[in-house]
Amino acid sequence: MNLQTGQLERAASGGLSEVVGMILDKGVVVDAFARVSLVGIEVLTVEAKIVVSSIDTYLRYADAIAQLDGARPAAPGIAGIVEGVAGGLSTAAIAVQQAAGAAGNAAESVVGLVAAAEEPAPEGLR
Amino acid sequence: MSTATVNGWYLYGIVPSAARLPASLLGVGAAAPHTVTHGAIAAVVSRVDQPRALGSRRDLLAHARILDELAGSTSVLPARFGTVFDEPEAIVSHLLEPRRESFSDALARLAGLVQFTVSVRHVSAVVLREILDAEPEIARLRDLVRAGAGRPEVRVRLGELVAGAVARTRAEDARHLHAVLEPYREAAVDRPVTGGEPAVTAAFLVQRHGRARFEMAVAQLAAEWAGRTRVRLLGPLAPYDFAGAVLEGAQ
Repeated sequence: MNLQTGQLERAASGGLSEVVGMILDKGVVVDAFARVSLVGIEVLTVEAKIVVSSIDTYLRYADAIAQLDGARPAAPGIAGIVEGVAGGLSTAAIAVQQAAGAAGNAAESVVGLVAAAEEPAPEGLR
Repeated sequence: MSTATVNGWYLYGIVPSAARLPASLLGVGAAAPHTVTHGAIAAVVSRVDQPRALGSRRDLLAHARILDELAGSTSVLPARFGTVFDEPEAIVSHLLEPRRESFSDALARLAGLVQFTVSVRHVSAVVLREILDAEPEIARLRDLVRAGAGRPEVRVRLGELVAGAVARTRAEDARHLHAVLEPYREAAVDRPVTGGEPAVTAAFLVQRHGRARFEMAVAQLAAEWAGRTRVRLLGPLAPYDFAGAVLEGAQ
């Protein structure tokens, strides 16, 4: 039920992902004689705050900018990067490999959150 | 948390006792909200009795919709999502009475004010083009990567530079957003953003009678940024991002 006003998107109230960002961790807390009865919310909050590991973010940006003007991505995925770097720089490879693992986990969590939100994935960087 | 059954009185927030509830809205648990009044303040609650824990999409949206609807006509202190009282008597004895003064003070401070939330998303192809045109080193590395000549580290380095440039663009856009809206709001707070989320998200506390001017200013900014960003304006909302600070100030 959004109204389009020129370039401005209007909504009286947020969609699920916006509401999650707005109402969790905020508001008057009642700690006596009231139960907080939630399922999965703590997990959701943690996942929403995950910062996708920087290596993964960098590669997404690199691909996005390389693909401007319709160029085809010739790039391997993060696994390929880990292999390639592992060939030359063994210390860095361990760090990158760990980061890649973290990126995988974070990506799964974020995908889970977005799926739960039933809203389109964020613009760009996909 | 041990049992999945929820049976009690679900709390949305605290309002002045003169406030009128939105008609025909169903809350968490699909019951209509009502007030429990104590002197000048009242708790907005609804009966909930269900065999599952709270936290569904419907529960979250119902919590926000009730509060946002209230915010359209009265000042309101939002409660943390998921607060349920086992006994209706406890709403007065353990919530309203012990904190009567600070709730009243906070509601008085929030009188006539509503929250709007503005989020700005970059149209990534356009913003990346701006960055490419402005940063020769990024353009050089990008050509290497496109030609397939760059080693994997070059790709990481390119992405790192772009990420830095995107972060600077976000910071500049946030500064501009706040400068443009400053005359039309009473308070503002930034929400941290990460990764592919909106480039900038900020909450503004706005006079209810001045909301048209605020909304106009946001629309003008959206027009100014047309093509490179998508600007989304939510509200009027309950003051989720300000109630905590206002309550602290009231105590």
